[in-house]
Amino acid sequence: MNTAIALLPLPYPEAIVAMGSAVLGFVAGALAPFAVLRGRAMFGDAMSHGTLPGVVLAFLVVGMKDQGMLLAGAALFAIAAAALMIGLERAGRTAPDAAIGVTLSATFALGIVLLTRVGHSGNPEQSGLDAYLFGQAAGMVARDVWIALLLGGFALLAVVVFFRLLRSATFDPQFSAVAGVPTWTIDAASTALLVIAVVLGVRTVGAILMVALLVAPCVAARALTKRLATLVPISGLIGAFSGGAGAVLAGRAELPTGPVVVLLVTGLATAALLFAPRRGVLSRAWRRRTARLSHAEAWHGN
Amino acid sequence: MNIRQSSSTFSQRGPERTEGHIRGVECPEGGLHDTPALRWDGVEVSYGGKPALYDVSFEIPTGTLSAIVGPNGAGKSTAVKAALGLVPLNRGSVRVLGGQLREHRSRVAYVPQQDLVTKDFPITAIQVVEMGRYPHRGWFRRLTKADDAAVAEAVRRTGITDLVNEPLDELSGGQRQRVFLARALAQRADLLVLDEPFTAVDARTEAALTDLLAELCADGEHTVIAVHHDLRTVAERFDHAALLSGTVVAAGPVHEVLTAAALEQAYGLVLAAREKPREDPSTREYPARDQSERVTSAP
Repeated sequence: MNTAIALLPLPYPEAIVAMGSAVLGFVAGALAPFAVLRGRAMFGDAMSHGTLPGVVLAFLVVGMKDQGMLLAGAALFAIAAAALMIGLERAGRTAPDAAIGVTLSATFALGIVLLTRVGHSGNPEQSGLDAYLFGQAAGMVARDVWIALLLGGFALLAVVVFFRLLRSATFDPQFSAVAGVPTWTIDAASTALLVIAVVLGVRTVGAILMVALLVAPCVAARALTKRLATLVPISGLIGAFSGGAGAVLAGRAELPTGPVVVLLVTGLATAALLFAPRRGVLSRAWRRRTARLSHAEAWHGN
Repeated sequence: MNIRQSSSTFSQRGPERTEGHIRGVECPEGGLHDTPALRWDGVEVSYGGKPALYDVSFEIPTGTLSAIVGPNGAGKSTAVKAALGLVPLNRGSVRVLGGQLREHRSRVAYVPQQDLVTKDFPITAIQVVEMGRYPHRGWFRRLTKADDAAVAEAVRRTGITDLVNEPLDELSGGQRQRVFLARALAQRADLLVLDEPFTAVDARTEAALTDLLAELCADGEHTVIAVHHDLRTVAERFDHAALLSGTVVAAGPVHEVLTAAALEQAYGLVLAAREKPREDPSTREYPARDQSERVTSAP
């Protein structure tokens, strides 16, 4: 990692920030497709909003901004949010979008209440907690990057090992269930991957905008490939570039990181949707036009 | 007249089979084929407290091209999902190939309804067909030469050789169904369960695919069960049918099942609660075909 940081043409603190944000972007971009392709992007949105009360409560329990503990609190609450949504859907017979809406707003409201209380508490340690709203990559240290590499690497390794199973079950859950993979295990696995992506990304991008870093790289990559085995790394690289470049830009412009990263990644997704060689809007329009012209030619030729 | 058949169906099945009634072929192995491919015993299923199926008992004999028919909301898909463990049973039991599904997973190929497959998924046609080998090879091991051969044969038989590298989401409805059928064939399963395989499929493709399924069953070893909505094709091409409407209205050889009285009961029950159906099948005539004639047409 140190050699990679030394290679970046940036001063050390900035290089750490760029490296860390790129790792987080890659992990989010590569893990999210397993939820996004199943139409569960907003599920991830509610989970990222749900991390906020977890972060503040973890701070209240420990009394200081220990990254590991904040991460654990975020993860715990992301899982709780997921469980709440599934519970509402299954037991409460709520429509998925309604369950997501309720969970998202309720957990986020709790987070804001806690955050405001802590802000008024006079504890000098608390300053900077509000960075979890819109994200702040500045102040990232080498240890944060190591945590991201370790946790993200673990999740990515799981994706590589279980790739065939994940692909089959994401594509055709019923077939996979008959072949012996219960649907709930796939739900649990894709939720776990999403938790890791969200919890790592939320520090940089913030609870509110995290969903863009889950969805946009996948959308861009989908326009560029017809295979999942290429979509996942492409999506990861788009996330990495947006995260790294966005963090550096935001730091220099003194803007919150989240919005800059999100604008960058959305721009890339828009460009991919427009200009993708085979599936892009322009390429499709061009093919339709040539098809129509050759059709007309054949017609008049008769 | 009692045309609702439940447990009485079983007592009828024995003599019919030993007379070689099904497809007019004697079973050379004798007792072996008395094991039905799929059998429901007093099955009840409900979705969120609302009953979808109740007191369902019937069986699909081995070696038949069978259809599960009935009006919308009759529980056709639910019946096959219950048999394959995809929805929990409130009561009753199911036997798959004479045992439990978990003992025979690789011998059962399932093609779900198209709207249960993730749309716009990045996958090519050949990758879908290769999935048919996973029940044999598992989720980790590489596919072998034998797997490749099975995939190639399935691709050839379903006529999708030119499409193998196309992304699935760029194929037409008929081409997609060919790909999913190829996956089922590549699995070389003994029991194929297809849920509404011919929706969004043109008539020519449907005829070609039905030929392929009939060919598969002709050896008396393979069984195909299709949830189907077109009663006319069922009457013309299928051996065996189960008519559902919340429960079993009739089950058995096609010409015994698709009678005016049974259809009226099945579709009439729903008519009472719903609006007009798209077409009223009870007013249509179905040729009561001689089963021996059916055998000559199958290769």
